Amino acid sequence: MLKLYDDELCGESYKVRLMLGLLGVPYERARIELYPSRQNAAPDFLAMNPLGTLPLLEAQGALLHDAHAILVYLARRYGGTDSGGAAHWLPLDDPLQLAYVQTWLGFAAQLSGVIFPMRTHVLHGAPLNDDAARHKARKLLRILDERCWFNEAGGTPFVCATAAPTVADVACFVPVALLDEAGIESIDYPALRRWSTRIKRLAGFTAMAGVYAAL
Amino acid sequence: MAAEERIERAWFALCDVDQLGDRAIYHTELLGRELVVWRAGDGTFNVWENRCPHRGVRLSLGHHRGEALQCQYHGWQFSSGSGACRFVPAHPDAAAPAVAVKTWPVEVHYGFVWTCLVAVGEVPPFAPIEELEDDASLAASEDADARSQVRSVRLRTVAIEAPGEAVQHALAGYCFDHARFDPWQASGCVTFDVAPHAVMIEQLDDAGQRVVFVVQPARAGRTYLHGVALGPFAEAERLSVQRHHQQRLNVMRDALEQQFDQREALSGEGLADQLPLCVPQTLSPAQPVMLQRSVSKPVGAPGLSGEKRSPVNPDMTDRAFDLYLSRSRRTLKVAAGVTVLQTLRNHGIDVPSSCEQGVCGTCRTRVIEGTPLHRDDFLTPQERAAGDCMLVCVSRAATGTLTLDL
Repeated sequence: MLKLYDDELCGESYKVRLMLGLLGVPYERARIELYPSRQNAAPDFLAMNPLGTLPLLEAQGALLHDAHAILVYLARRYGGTDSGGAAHWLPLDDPLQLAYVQTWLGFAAQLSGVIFPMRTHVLHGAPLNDDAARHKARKLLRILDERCWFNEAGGTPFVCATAAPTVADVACFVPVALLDEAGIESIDYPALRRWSTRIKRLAGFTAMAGVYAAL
Repeated sequence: MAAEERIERAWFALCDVDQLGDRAIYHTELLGRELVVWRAGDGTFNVWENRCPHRGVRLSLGHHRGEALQCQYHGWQFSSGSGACRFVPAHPDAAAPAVAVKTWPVEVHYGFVWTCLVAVGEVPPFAPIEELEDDASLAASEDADARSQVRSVRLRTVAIEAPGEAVQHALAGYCFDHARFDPWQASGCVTFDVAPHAVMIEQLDDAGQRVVFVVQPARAGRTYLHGVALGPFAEAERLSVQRHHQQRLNVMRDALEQQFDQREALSGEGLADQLPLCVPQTLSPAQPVMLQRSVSKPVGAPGLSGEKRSPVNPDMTDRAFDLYLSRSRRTLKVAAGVTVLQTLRNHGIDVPSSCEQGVCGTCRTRVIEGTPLHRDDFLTPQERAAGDCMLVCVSRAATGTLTLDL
């Protein structure tokens, strides 16, 4: 059985819970509280992950950190391999598509790197250069909104211009779903709203505090 | 309110109808008013104030229930068309309360949903944009050949952090190239105003390709720009046309925003040199929607709340009465058909309010003398009987004079 060390309110952890839910994989959870107790900085957790980051997945006797690495692992292990099943999560057979997935995972990392600190700033008062963060967030969100609009106009509504979602959709979805908690208005990004709603309607969608499934 | 005087009596485009498929809920803003736009299962388009009359939460956060929109907070459902509340999950067996979301007029033209922010009865007729009419009539033509040939292409709506007038002005320098779709080159173009908030740009070559832009002033310093490239285009050309204009619009947007950023930095006062279009009327700190005493106020069974209410339109048989304000020692006349809240506002006295339909309790005010004529759904029977407070948005006076603690 997989064991996930995570925090309910952590964005990176949510990416992994969402992926596990979408793939229908059962797992155990161990809560590591980030705020206020900072259990991730305790010696016993640092012994498992010296970076002290969440999430951490115990699988096949190994300890995996980095949410995006875990998404790739889960999609490859549980998402089906050949043409059938849920192989769309990680299109290994198509070199170009695989590169696109990597591109948009990188984009999701940039977006998360701006949105999550803004959210922590709003929720817990962590220090932040707010103007610079807002500017960067707007730039990235405009790119993603435009991307989603043209994907939909072309009949391939997911982030990598595919007809079915990939791990990059899961990775991009979480920072977008948490915009409100980061104090960023979503009113200027209607295409992101439509794409998010598509994700929220997928079978196995997992909610978190403030992020609900769509009807 | 002063802000309302600035609302222009004109129709504005809000969004492309294609954005409303798949039970979408579209959140937008016009002249500082937050709106929610959605299309019901029967095809009815709705443009509503984006605020649940119960607790003031944005309806755009809620769910599309086919023929109703459901608020995410307490699950109240509001019917397509009228905006009337049809169901309250906490009281499944009680009649729905007589409240409604504020609705705005809707028309659909040229593939866009349009609205006009004025009261029913004052809505001006939609002023057609001639340049788009030809295209619309051909698209609706009986002739299948004409239909397949003539296809205008609607562009992606662009959000720009600049005032509407500045965006419209900047369009004078807009140019494009439908022949080569080259992002860096464009042939000469000329711009015409075709309506108060719409411009047409025409290529100066033999082909004379045209595009029409329609401006949606969202709020002070923010504009949404809708566009239609006039055909004929083959279906296969659609994405190229959209991408070409997207690139050119992004360039225009970035240049405009840089200009306004610099102006802001120079002025030192932030947005000092941008006149507000209108004071945003939506969720402001003055309206503490989350911190009310009665979070899940039960919906009274019919007949239980005593007097019959007329929440939306003040009953014209309402009697006039005098209002004495004990703190400011002023006497105001409340005319028949005008609410206490409106009378107070007319005299510059600001009482916090939210739903203005007697549901939320925000405008609850202490009564010192006189007997209130309660018309709300908020107060308990005990509070009504005590008569020492009232909701000034809907309730009136049973006596000739009412003294309020204001």
